[in-house]
Amino acid sequence: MVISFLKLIGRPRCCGALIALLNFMMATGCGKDEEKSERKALSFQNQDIILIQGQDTLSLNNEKISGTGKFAFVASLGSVDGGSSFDFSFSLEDGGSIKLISYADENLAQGIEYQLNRAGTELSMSYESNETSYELTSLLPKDDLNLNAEGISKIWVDVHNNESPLHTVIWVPTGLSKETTGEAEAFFNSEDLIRAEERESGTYSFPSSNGRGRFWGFELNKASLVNAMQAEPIYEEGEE
Amino acid sequence: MNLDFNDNCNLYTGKKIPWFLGSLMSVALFSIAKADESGLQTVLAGDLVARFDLDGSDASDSLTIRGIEFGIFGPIDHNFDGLVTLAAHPSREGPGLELHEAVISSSRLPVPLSIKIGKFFLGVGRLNQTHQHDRPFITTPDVHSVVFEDEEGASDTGAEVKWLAPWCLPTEFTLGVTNGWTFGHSHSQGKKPDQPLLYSRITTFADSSLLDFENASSGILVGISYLQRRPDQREEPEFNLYGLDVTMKIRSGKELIWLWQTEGWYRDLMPPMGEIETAIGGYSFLERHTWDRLFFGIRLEGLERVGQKDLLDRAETNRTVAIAPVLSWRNSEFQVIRLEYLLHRTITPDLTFDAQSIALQTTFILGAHPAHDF
Repeated sequence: MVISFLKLIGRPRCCGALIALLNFMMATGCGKDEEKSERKALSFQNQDIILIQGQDTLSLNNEKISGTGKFAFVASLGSVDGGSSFDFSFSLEDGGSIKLISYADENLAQGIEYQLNRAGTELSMSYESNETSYELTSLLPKDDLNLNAEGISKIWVDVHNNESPLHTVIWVPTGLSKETTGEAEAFFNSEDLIRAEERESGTYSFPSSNGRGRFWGFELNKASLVNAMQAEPIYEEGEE
Repeated sequence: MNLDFNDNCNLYTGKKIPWFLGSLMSVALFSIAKADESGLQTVLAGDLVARFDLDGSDASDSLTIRGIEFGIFGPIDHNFDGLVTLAAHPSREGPGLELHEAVISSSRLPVPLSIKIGKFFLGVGRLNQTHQHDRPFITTPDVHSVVFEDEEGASDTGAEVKWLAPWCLPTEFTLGVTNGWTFGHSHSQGKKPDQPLLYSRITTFADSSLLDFENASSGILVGISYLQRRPDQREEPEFNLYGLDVTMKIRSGKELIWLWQTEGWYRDLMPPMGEIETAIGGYSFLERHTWDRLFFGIRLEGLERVGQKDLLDRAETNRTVAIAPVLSWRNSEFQVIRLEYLLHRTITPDLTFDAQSIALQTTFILGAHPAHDF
């Protein structure tokens, strides 16, 4: 009952004045200053992208991007010193792979990479930063509807690039909702790898370096990407 | 409702001190202080927060022990004071106690300086030096979370010196040097930086005699802060931080009638590669005593990352703004009940979205509380 009352207070009609004030605060800020660029943007799911590799080997429409190549989203992640969640769905041909690259530079280098590979009916996964990689295959959930080598798979990844060492959390989102999901439902949390002696020395045996840029994108190899979204991190430590 | 107050003492595996042991220490030390009349004092402060999502926020609809702080403080000898605080926050390991502050300090030296050595919250800005349970609102302004990389604030181990200039307008200069191995939220000891963390602050205070306030304890405090971090540049970005804070209090007798607290911050952050990122933002909170022990305040805030460009070389908008009305019932100096509504808007190149939440808080203090600055 208390929660219902609180939710009533929060209805848009009840706080129109506050929203108007927010609009005023926004209006006093800087506007968007657009400049011409020689780079040509394409559209994928209503987000601007640019191709970095694979002009002839990637096929694209607004719903799906397939083939082999590399592309970056035009909009940045906001800040190199921040955190994001990535929600993507894909399918792989036999021998194919897909790589999510986050917090990278304009050419999608120097970032944090999450790679999934298909060999027959098996999927494997690893992640890497600054040339240190970690194998995640043994942690992948078995017989999960959203993790299917021969069909469409779905992954959520949290990248907390503002934490040191790099903190990342990964879910296969079967039966999960972003609003209620925490670290307990994740199949991997890099904090679990931190051992006391490493914490003391500051030297880690797993990918610990932060990404060096604020852009993101994908590298496809005989793969199809059918959904890719970026948002605020799903899991925040100490969240209320 | 999920009650998140797990008594998970059995989960402790690290160096944290078990919860129950902290409670026993509190009682024991209080007894010691009473017994030896040394001036040793103890404090236990609690901060309980329940945050509910109304629309699109990350509030988890649960009651959380946001922080429990246990502290002992008192004079060491005729020159020096000591302070140790341990704080418990919700974490993966459960509500374990961690060392928050451990300070030896003095303002009674033969020279007109006050010094502080140990672990402490960096002496810059206003919120960064105010524990969460002492803040006049529940949620943390974005600008603070971003520039200090933690909702609570940035603390480190080092030394701080203050000099109160003998001028007609009281002006205090602060200079701090700390290890700088980590900054803000971190899960490690960090790495040796290229140079230690440096900060400075100048504050001036205009009291009632200058401002023609009726009450002697009213006044305005203005501070200017600078902080410089130079970590291992191959690993982390370095940055400079510039801040301005203003706090005004108007009292009638002992009663606080008006509180105005505002801070503005500017940060230029230089990643190991790529362009400089600039962030500018601030908040302003105005609170008025309304009736009996009830206070009403409102906080406006904004944060913008300036000068960023997308991959097509177009200027990019990354901005947040928020409004938070706050009702506080100050039952006594030692207990507050607070209700806060937060309307938060995020504007990015691709979308604009609003998030609404409401938070209930109660804070309490057992024992003596160290004196606060104005």
